[in-house]
Amino acid sequence: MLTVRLALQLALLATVIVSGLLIGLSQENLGLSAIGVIGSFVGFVVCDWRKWFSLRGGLANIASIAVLVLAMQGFVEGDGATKLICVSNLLVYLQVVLMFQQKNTRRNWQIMVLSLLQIVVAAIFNLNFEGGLLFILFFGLAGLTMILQSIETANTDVRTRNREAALALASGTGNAAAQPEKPVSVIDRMIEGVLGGRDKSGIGSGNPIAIFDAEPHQERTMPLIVRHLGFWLATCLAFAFLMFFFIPRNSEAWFGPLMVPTQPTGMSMKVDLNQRGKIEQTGERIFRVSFENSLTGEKLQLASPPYFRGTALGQLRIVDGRTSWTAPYDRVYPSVYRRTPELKPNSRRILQRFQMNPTDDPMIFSAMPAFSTPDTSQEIEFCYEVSALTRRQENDRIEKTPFRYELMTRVGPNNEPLEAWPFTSLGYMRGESLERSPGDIEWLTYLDEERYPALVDTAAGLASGFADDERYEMCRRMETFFQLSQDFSYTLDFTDVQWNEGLDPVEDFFVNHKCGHCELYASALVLMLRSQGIPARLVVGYYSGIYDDENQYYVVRSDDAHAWVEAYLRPADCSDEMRREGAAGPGGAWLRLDPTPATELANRSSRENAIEIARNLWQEYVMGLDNQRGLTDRSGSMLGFTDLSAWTSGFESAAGEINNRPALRVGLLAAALFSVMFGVMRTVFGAFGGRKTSERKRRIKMIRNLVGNALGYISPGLKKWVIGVDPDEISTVFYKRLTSVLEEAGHKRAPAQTHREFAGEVGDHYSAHPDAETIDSTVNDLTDLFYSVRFGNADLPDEDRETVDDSISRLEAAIAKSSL
Amino acid sequence: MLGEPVEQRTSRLKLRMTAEGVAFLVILAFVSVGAVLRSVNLLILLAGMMCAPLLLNWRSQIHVMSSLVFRRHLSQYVHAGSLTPVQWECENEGSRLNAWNIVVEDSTRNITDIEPGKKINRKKNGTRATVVFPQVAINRSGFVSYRTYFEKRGIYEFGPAVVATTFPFGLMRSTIRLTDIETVIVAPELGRLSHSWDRRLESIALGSEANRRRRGVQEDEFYALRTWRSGDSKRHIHWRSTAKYGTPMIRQHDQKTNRDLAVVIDLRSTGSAIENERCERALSFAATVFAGLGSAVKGQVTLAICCDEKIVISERYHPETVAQVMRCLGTVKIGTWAMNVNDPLIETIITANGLVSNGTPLFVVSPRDEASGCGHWTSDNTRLNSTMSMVHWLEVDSKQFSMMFEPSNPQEQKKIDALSEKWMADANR
Repeated sequence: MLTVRLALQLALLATVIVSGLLIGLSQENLGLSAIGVIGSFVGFVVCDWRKWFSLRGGLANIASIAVLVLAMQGFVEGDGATKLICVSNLLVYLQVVLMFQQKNTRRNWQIMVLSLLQIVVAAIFNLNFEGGLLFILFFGLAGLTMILQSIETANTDVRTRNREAALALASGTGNAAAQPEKPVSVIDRMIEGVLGGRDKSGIGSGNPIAIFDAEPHQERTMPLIVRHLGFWLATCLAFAFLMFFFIPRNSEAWFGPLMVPTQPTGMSMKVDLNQRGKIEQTGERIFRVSFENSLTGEKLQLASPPYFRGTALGQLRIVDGRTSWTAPYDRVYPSVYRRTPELKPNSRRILQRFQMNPTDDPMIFSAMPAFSTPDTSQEIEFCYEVSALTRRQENDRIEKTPFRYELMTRVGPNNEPLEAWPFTSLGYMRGESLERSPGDIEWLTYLDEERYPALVDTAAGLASGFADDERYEMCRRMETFFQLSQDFSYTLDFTDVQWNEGLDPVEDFFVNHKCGHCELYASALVLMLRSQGIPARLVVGYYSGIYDDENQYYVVRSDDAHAWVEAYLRPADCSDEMRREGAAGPGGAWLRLDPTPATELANRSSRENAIEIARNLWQEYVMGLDNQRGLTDRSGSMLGFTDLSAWTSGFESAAGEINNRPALRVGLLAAALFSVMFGVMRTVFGAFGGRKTSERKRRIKMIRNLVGNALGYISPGLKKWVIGVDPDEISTVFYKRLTSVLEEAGHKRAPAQTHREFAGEVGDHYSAHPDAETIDSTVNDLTDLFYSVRFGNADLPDEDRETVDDSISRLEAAIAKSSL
Repeated sequence: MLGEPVEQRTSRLKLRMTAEGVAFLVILAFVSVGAVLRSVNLLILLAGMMCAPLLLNWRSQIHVMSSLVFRRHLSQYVHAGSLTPVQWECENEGSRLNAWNIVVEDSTRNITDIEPGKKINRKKNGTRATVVFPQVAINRSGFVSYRTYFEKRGIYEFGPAVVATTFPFGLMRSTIRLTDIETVIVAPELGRLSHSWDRRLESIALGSEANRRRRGVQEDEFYALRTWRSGDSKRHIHWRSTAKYGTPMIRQHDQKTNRDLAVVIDLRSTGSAIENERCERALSFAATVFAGLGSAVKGQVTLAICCDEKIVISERYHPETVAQVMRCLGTVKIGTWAMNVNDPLIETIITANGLVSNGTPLFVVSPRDEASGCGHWTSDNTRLNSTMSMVHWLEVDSKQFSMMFEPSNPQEQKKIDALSEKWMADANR
């Protein structure tokens, strides 16, 4: 049986578990969550459920001091975040100690407060969308716990008072069995003192003893509470969100104090083809980007999907007998970082505004070519050695918060992304060509031709028709070789592929399988280009993303990750048009080539789903809500409602619309008439207003009777139809029949007698009757049913009504036997 | 007998923060300040979420508490030594919210000894009873009751009561004071009359019936025939039907029961505890006799009490007469006077005798024996002598009285003991 006390303990445990999970999630410290969850659960089992053990008095104090010392290590010398972590540890440990103690109203409240403080700390750190769901769950559970606590407090009061009264009654009536052997508490001693010399005789000043003979909340209360909890929670949430969005904000949103060391992770730094297509398809959002006309501020959608370039993996290595692409991080020094150049004011340019999700990765992305603006963060630099944009230099610590930055780029005349970009080397600013760096040329053309015989042969065949100065055309030919070939297809699923261990995976893909993902296509093309002496490298980044029409930005997720190729074009290989557009510079250009079949690639991109939308909303409108997104920022448009001219024009257009639709006109007329009648009724009779239901019901009944009686002159059926029968009377009519049956048998309920007492009295009266059991059970069952229908809002279906009628008939027959 | 329940007058609704609410408010203030100063969105959300229960608690309590109407259902009189239910009714006249967890703290106290007009400190005096309405649905009434055990007869008052709720979140407590005071008279404890009393009453009744019959009055009417049972008089056998059915059949008569009853209580005490206790027993006897009258007596009912003042109640039998008797028995004070003072008992007996029909016995219940009570009364007055011949002296301490009357009902006592054990177990659970 789920009593209120047990329900309270369970709700409290659930609250504690959720708060433990939340505080761990906020710091990405699942160990802390585990301590909180497991400790609390064990405490509940040991102390509340099985009642094997509980920490008492001094022991609990010692345990509290011990956890204080344990949690506060490093508090003094730590930074703000460390101090907060110490505090959160302390909160969790103290809560576990409390869970091992005997529970009472006060202790339950202490546990609740600690949980609430944990939520405060978790909120100061950071919570992702899943954490946000737990946050709301916590709130629901905490609400339930508080409700149950409120009920249990009343129960406890009644129990205490009953105990006092029972003791007093036992003392007053001399019932030794009910009296404790010795006083066990202050209350007991007090009562014993008060009642010690009780004298029953006379009419002295002895006060009565009062006792509430019922557990206030029986088990049937629980479902009712849970049923109403949804309403309370929804109301609280609605209010909370309204308040949340209307509070004005003056600054950027806070994303927590945690700093994490940067570490190169993921495919952006290395492609080894070892995992053979294991592009992570988590759907996690990486960033969003909007393109704007830098002069007008107009948001733009590009004519073709943009490539958001990450880093170039130009270093070819053979690892475990397989082709592996890496960036030359071993050659990165502070001197190879440069701030991206700024564009000339008169050039055609597009502003890119990025917002990256919180990550500890220093790499950032951009459509190329990328240029700085005066508002571009000073943190952003271009590392020429790995050819990547970064927001911090390696080994720095970065804040784990959403990162916003803006960069300029150039697009074609129809807003299509450029096919090449000109920052070829450190010497670009000085107009130097890459060819002036023989070392770079050497490792960008490095190839072990014996590993890839088929690729090399094919490349040679494709290049045979092109002259040395037709490098651009040669590159495009090789790109289209993959794109247009019917033999090659795109897949991420290699489960049924039998790899030839004797061949390099790229060669194996090219010769045998001809199906693979972008890394294989890009690798193959790079190798083919290099076999023809063209410096080429594999580039990783993101392709396309999903354009959000409403918000006018691209949302890019992890499954939009892509690999493509950059081939070096010498200055002589670049056309005038490329130079004019800014795709090529004095040092040449990096030409983007994407051999992966485009149609297949487009299909690969995952679509929006509900969870992703919710994640975005959480990130944008909860975690990242700032003065730009808050509703108070739109006060201007809200004040627009006071503009009368706007209303007038609105009315005019609406009137025109109504005139054109006769059905609408009739409907509106009917609605207007009804409204007028309703208003008159309300004004005259007050029937549909008023605060008290009884008054309202009385008036409605009056009107109904008036109408019903008038119609009664025409037809009695109409009168019955209008006046009807009171639903309450219908539902409890069986009890009236029961009382009339009992009344005929000489049993009448005394006015001060409760229905149950009356049922008990009837049962006792027929205790010697041959059908005593039938009479007793029938009367008691019907009384219980009456209680549930009359006071418990329960319904009595028609089929049950028949059963009840049968029971009463049987009862009548049984009682009649005795009178024969 | 129950009085009509009165809608309780209510004081202004008072709202205050509970200790939990204060702690909650402190945390909320801390969170709000931190949230606004640092623009921590989650803290702002948390602050909003924490504000919501406070506001909801506040508004729902105001709405619910102002929609409730309370009534106390109380008997006009009850008997000491028994568990008496006090029923509370709560009607929810609101149109939107069900009322939950409404706690009514009632108070009750003995005011017998308090002089009229004297101020009573109701906060300090009395016993408190707590009842809880788990839920009262919209436009419905909820009923809960508590039991009261009155050890002594007297006048007790109920009220004022305090209605409180902390529902739903326990952050605020709203209270309403129900200011009406109701009084209830607690009549003496009911005992158990033995068959000895029944026989005595019956024999006296038959005697008077015989007298009437001799006077030619036949008041019985034929009611029905029934089979013979052990103890039935042979004179009532209907022989023709017996021959017809083959089993003895009895003529059953509808007996007229409009005979009179007169009881005189002698509340004479020197003030000692033993004598007081005897007087209480006499009162208890009278209460038991009158409570059990039922349809046995439907004539003139007379109760005369001889104490500091002479109290006489004489009415035709009616439940209201019994209620009047019980109220009198509940409030009467034991008289104390010196032995040498003229005994007013004789005057009381004569008065009572004058109020009932001739031949009606006068049961004088007294803590004194007959000799010291009326043995010394001699008079030439024939009226007094005839009155004295009708007196049936019942001395409270006599064996005869003990055989006739048991001061407390063992069944009731057993029931109370069982309940107190149950409540004790529940409270300790």
